[in-house]
Amino acid sequence: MKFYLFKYLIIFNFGLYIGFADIKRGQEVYNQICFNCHGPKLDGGIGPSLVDSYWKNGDSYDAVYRSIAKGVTGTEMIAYELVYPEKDLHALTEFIIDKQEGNRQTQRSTYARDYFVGKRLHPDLFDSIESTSQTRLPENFYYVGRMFDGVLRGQSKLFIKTPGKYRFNVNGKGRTSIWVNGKEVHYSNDKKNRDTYFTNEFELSAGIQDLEILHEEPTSHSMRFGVRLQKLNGKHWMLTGKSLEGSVPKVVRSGEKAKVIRKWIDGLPPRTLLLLLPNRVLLAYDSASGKIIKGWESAFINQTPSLDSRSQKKSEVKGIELTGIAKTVLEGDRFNLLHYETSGDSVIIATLVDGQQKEFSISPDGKNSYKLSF
Amino acid sequence: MNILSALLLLFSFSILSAQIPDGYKIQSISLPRGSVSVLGLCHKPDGTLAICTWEGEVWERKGDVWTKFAENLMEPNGIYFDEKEDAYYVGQKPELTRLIDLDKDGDCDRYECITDAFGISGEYHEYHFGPVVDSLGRKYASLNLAARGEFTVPDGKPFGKGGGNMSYNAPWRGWVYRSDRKGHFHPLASGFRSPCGIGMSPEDELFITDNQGDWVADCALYHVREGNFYGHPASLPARPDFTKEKVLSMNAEDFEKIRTSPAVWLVREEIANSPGSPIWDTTNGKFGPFKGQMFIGDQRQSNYFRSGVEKINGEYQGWCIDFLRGLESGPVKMSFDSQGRLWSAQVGRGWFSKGGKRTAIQYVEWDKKTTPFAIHSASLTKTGFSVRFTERIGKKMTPKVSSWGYHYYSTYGSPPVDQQELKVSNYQLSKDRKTVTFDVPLSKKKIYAITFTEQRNTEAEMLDFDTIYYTLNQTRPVREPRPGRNVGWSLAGSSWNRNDKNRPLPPVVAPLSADKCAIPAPKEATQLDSTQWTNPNWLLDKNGVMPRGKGNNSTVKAYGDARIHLEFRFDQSDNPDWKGQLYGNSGIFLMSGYEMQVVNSFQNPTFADGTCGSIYGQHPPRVNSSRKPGEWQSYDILMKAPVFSEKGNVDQPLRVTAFHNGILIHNDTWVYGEVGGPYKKHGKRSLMIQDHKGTGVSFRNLWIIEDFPYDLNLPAFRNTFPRSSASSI
Repeated sequence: MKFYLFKYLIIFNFGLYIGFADIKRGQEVYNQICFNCHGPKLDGGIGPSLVDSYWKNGDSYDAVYRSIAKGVTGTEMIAYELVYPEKDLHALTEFIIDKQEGNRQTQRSTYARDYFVGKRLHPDLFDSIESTSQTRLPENFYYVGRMFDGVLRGQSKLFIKTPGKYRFNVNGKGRTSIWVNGKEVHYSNDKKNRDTYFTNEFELSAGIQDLEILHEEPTSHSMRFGVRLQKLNGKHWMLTGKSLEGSVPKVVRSGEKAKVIRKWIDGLPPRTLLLLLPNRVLLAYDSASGKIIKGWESAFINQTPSLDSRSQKKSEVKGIELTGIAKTVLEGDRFNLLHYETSGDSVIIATLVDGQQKEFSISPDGKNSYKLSF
Repeated sequence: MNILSALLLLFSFSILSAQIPDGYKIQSISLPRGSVSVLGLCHKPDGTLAICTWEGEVWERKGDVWTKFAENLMEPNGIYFDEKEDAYYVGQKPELTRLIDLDKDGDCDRYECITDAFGISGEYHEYHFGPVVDSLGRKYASLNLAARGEFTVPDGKPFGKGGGNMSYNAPWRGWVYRSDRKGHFHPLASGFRSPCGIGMSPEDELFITDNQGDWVADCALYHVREGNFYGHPASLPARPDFTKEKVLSMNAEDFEKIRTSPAVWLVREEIANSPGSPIWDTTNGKFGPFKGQMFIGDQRQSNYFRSGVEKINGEYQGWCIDFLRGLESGPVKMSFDSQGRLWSAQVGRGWFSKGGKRTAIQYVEWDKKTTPFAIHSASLTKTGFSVRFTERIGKKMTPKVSSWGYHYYSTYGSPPVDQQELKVSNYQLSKDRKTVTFDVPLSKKKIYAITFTEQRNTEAEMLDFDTIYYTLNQTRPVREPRPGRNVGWSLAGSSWNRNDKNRPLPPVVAPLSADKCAIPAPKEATQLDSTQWTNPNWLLDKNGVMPRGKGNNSTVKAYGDARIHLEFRFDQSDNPDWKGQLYGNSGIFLMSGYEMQVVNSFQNPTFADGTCGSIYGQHPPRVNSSRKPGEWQSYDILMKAPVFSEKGNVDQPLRVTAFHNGILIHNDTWVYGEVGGPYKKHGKRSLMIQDHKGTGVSFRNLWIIEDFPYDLNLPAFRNTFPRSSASSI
């Protein structure tokens, strides 16, 4: 067992569970049943991803264990305490926790400004008075509501996989204090400009680290503050962002009928029709070139969640990319889409090809293929 | 409490407080699950409310029950229900789409692409707003520029320090267009930045609101006239007479010469920051005493404001004033229901909205009896203004008047320039105590803020909003047209009058070379040789050349749908008296009644809709691709005969697609009627060539394919000639 997990168990779950469960056993259990919905790489399928930062039902050890043991009402996630012994459920929880990386278990507390006037921001100050609100943030990044008028305290865990040198990249007007494992690594008080600060570098070992962010800035319609954790010459993680404001990212999955979806996907032309067939095969048909340019099996679409963004965020295709799927459906130079409709499990597309009207249909074929008919 | 927090408290109070005129109330509506940001709404004649959402769904609400009609669209930013077709139209980001429920089970079955002829690069800001519809059922929509990209027009200023940031990444961005029917795309006007408000007046006049930014000094309401340029130069490369290089070689002064100013500046913070679509009060008094006025919502201010325009020197200008504040979120699109309630789709996503909520649907209702005390409207006089109130005013209060102008430059927004307090004189109150007139110094290209501080009515009630803003582009002329001659436009939708001398001339482009234009007559074509014409004064010589003769010349045979080719040549003339419409005038009268103009338009300007290739008095050609007098030129015409009902109504108009010297000049153009008047029911009729006063014209190589089905052949016909950039739509 890796040391950091040991540490984790000691610190956070001492009262609940004492013992060294086996991550390997957890993986076995995962591969027996969980992967069907959550994907072989834990990145989601019918069920949500277990490695992204959005944890609707909580990402603490207890919360993850509870979701597994008791199930999640209103979803296909059943109570697995009826299926596996308690020991296996702990093993599975550990396996999942072991896969996490970045900011987790994010708590946001807010405080009235008055107490902090003229005092340097320090965790002890916050500990000595009561907060005005305390919220778990399932998105695992920090945000505040519009016209926020107060002081922000964020407390979370950094799940570090690669030991080495790290630093924060901070920007935003106001004052900011960042603490890692009880030590202040950054302090800035920016009255006028919104400069970008790179904090001094510091060492992080693999494992779970305590992070605390203290921040105050003048009221504006949305918080200017931004902070990012960077591994030197490595990955980086945004720790601030925009709230989902309670709505869950929409996922479009295959159903009994075929679906045609128009969403913005990275790397696909904006006039692509995404054809999602009942066998979960997803095809990207480019209406401007008459070609199927990509395909996936076990696919679904993660639609841009209704984040507080100007729709810069693209939707994502999830699934296993099929090779050798690209195909010219119709030969020609100029394509003009006429219409599309779904008929049972098929999609019918009508298009002009060099001025001539052509129609074809695409239907599911087996588990991971499709057939074309004219 | 220190001063800062006192100010903050004051500020937060001011954004939360509602200001609702007497007699009006706001009602909120529950939204269907999953509708996280509502972008558009419309009403069906049966009272059903339909909405479209950023999430790509269309929902219908009957009573208070929501049902999903369509889904998985890309950011539909506007919805319209077409009663005749029993179908919805939505402006999705990549295309204008018709949603059809084939089996009438309340669920959309067919998604039909009406047009996707405009470009899209994938930059998030390339929004597509609309459609709105004119009385002929034609759809209009607007296309945003991108927020980032390669083609910006900084006019010498560095990016971030005043240089323009909005970019032209793909064709027709920054334009509004019209689509007459499936497959049709007609770019209408250019120069827009973020034209998120679009509205069609009851008189078929298109209005656009744009958002303040680079090249847009302040939020603006434009009256859109076909062919005009409204100020943002990044959109200009789409025009056939511009290139990117040419645009970059120009500066603000050059653009100023060709741009059209807004009809009304929507003063920022006071009135608007992100105005939505205008809608006209057509409720006949059900929504209060503001009949015929424009209502516009602002996404940031969470308000409704009113606006009105008047025609001065042939152009619209007018006023705006706040109407109601305190909506839950940011209104973007509006609709009146049959009870005269004003509904709005509101969204606070992406851009901050004072209302604070992420999204909302609300309606505003008038109690049908209480007249709110408000400034009703303002009008320019020759020496000042006349301001009307909704009720009799109490003690006379002289208004305070200030004026300012704006810069026109690549910087984001403009501060007020040359701001002045003006001396008010000659105050007069009308007998009914509702209209105040006064004199102030007037100058052009200025905004006038007219404030009636402390003005009360006879009941001692105060005004909710005491300032009306008037945009003065033009002063009143000494002699004005007779009343009645100063409303509307004879060419609906394009907002020009027939033979309007102010209408922009079609851009001049190079024709295709003569060998590329020479196409052999197909086998099924009939040569219109001397045996095919009826007027003996028109003689074909031994070379097959037929000079214009005395009297019009008609074919022996009558034709309907047809493919026509002909060549013509103007005699050279150095006589300065024979210019304009007199330099080589004739005309091709399709079905004897619909004229495609033949006149020398090579360096011989005339009014736009009389240019060579125009549908005379209606549509100028897209471009002017004329050759010199003395050279042979060609027309290739595909035409669809009008279809009349038994009663003689026009079911389908005559349509024309045509090339002049190999360049597309009409793209499925909707002909409004005969050259001399409206449509009159007829069947097949002769092709006719006109005799007209003017220097000489000759014709040759005329051939026609009769009964040539238009719709079937249109896609291939559009590809008759190699495409030049001027032809690409």
